[in-house]
Amino acid sequence: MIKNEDIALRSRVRLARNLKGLPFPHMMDEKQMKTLIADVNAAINGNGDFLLLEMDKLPAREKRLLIERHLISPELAKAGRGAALINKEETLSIMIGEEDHLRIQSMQDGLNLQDADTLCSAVDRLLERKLAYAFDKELGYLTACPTNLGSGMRASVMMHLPALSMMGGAEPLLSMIGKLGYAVRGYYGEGSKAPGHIYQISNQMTLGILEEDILSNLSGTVLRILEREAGVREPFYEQNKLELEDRLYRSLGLLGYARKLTVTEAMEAVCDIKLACGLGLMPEFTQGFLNKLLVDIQPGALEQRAGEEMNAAQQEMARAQYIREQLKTINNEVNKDERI
Amino acid sequence: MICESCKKNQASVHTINVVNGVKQEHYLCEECARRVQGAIPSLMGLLAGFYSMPQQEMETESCSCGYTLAHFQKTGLLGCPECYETYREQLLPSIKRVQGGRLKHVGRAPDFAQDQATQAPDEAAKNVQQAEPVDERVHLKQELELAIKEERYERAAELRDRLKALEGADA
Repeated sequence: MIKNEDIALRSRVRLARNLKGLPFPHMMDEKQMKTLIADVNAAINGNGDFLLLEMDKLPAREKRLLIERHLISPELAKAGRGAALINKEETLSIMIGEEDHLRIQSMQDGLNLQDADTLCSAVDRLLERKLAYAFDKELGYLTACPTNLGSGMRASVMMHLPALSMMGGAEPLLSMIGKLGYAVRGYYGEGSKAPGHIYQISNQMTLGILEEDILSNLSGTVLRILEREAGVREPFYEQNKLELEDRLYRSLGLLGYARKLTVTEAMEAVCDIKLACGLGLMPEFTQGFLNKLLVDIQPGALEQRAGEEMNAAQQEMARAQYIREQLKTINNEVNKDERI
Repeated sequence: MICESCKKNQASVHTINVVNGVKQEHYLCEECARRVQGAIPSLMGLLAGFYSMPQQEMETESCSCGYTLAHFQKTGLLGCPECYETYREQLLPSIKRVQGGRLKHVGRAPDFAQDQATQAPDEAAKNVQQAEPVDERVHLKQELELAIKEERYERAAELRDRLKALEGADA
């Protein structure tokens, strides 16, 4: 039985907000930026619920880790100024001084745009009472780029579509979805390829459409893609049993024994195990374990565990070793169960 | 096709610039395209379509932040929230273009703006919601006719596909 969470991996909602009487971040001087960070922090973080991370004080390694966890954008990290406020559960972050003064964003597991929105809008309401938002009754929330005007809302869902993708059905489907006003990107966002058949789908229009409709339209679209993927998985497996099983078990072998793994290689293999797990082939694994593994093998996460910067070769070795260790814990569990 | 600039690599970027009504096409490799990128306006800037506007008007600093329409064309960003008021008339066509033809905010609003909002915002929102697919198609058809008239066939093909997709989704 294929579950929705096997296909829709993560949901994200972000709101773009700006303050009246202040130039947009790309026009702000250092003093204005520092004042903005202090004002936002004072407005929302009186109880110390959020961790304040200032980009000019943060080591590159920690920035990479935040990008991998989708808590900040690569653009904010690169700007070298601005800040992020992140809650303890790491489900909500407020980027300060990215393209807009504020980018409030929330992440949830599975297809769950509703909860992500609830969290974002609660923070939005709190901030709105303390800060003077730039708002126009025709154009809505005013943003640095006109593509975000109106609601300032961008909702996205990350999807794992291996069967559609291997059958060659993902590209035409996703290009049609593009024509309906959605953007389709790879795992790492704009312009990136889709390693492991992972795609991000998000709304493009933000003006003249209700927030609830942005969310329900996207959820509806995601559900239709999800049904399509779920519908072709079993027949695809039945028709290509030997080839597919061979591929999936090779990936298991690679993860279990390789001494060096690039991030793309590892992601593709882990995604193969995700597919195998969804097809009931490798019952020892859970999707949760594999989703966590996908995050833990990214460069920033590896460096964080090692506590030092690593070059590409060191990362490949550390990645392969980490995966071998993780797989061993699974095998030990299985052996223990068998003994009992 | 070989890159026009370095004449070595395979060309993978096709650029079209229209300056004062004269169309210039270039085929470049990624490296050369990146080198000349500074000279190419941003995508948002291209969509803005200010080409018919006199350069002097584009460089007039009308907004207190010092940002001009020429800056906007280059970066795709405005200088400050007030820029939308200052350059409203010139910006509306490009906003309409990137927002699928819509120009009226219907969603949430800060408390201070609630009073200004039209009476019964829920009702208004419902009407917009129902009218939306028809509006979108009518708008697309109009734009398609215009594109064919002006012989902008690439844009026309895009519009035709979107119309088809919309009609397909309804069927």
